[in-house]
Amino acid sequence: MNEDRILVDAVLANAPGAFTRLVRTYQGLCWHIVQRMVRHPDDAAELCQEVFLRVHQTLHQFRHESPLRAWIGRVAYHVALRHLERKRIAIVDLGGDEDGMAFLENLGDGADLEERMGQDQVDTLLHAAIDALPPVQRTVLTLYHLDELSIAEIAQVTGMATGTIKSHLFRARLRLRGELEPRMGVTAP
Amino acid sequence: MKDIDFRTDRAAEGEWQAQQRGDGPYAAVARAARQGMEPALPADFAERVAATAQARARALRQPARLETWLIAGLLVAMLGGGVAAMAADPRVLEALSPRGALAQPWLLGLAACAAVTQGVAWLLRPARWPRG
Repeated sequence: MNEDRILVDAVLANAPGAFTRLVRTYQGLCWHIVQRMVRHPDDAAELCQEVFLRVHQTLHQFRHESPLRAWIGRVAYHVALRHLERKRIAIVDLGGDEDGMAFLENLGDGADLEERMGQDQVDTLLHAAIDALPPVQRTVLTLYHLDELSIAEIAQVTGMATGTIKSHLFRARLRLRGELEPRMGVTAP
Repeated sequence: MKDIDFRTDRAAEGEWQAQQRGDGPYAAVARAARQGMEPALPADFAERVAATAQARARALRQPARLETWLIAGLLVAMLGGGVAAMAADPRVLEALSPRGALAQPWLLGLAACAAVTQGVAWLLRPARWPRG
């Protein structure tokens, strides 16, 4: 938190290289959020630029009430969200989840999955399945596992309740498991 | 889609715990989710964005500075004109006294217009970005 304050003060004082340092520190997080949401590399790069221009313009409003990464993550999430809304792309799966929850009753233990398929094949399959998740589930999953944000921090980034984030994360992982189940000889719904 | 109540749904709670521990296939799920994404942003992204942001900030500051100079020039011209008018004709000074001002309702109208303009500008000021 103290590092955040030093960096923010340096940017606000126009210290040479300070804003470049800020961008370099958080560009990975921004890319993960925006790319996971929009899934189009050219659009995502442009939107990431928009995110940091907005951060530069509004940094004086940052009150250190949350970590800087959550604040920048929130800007990135809202920029990506607005882009999807303009393109009329649904950000959550609007269908019912009875099938997914019923799947809970038919799970195998999956212990021998990688022996059967090999790690590379499993990873390829899972990456395709992650790409097929609804934007919000995809983003929540990435923020939790890749960027190692806590559920509370993801809630700050997205503006959703922690219970909603937990449900999205749960459903995303369950759905990915569902993609693997047919290969493990267990019938998925 | 509704939130899951993990306190009452035992099956969901058990599965959540398995997810958190990385049991069985969830180890592969966590590993795949942790892997980086290709392609990434260009190597000089930070430098380019910083240069653009600084150029924009400079561009935003310049019109404001020009505007300030223009307003200051206008005020100096108006004050100079007023002083010259008062020196040339003593009736101007009398018209600006409190009694004279009440006799000139357009002065009160002008003051009311200025107050309304400032009030509306304050009410319609742009919303701020969510606070951190």
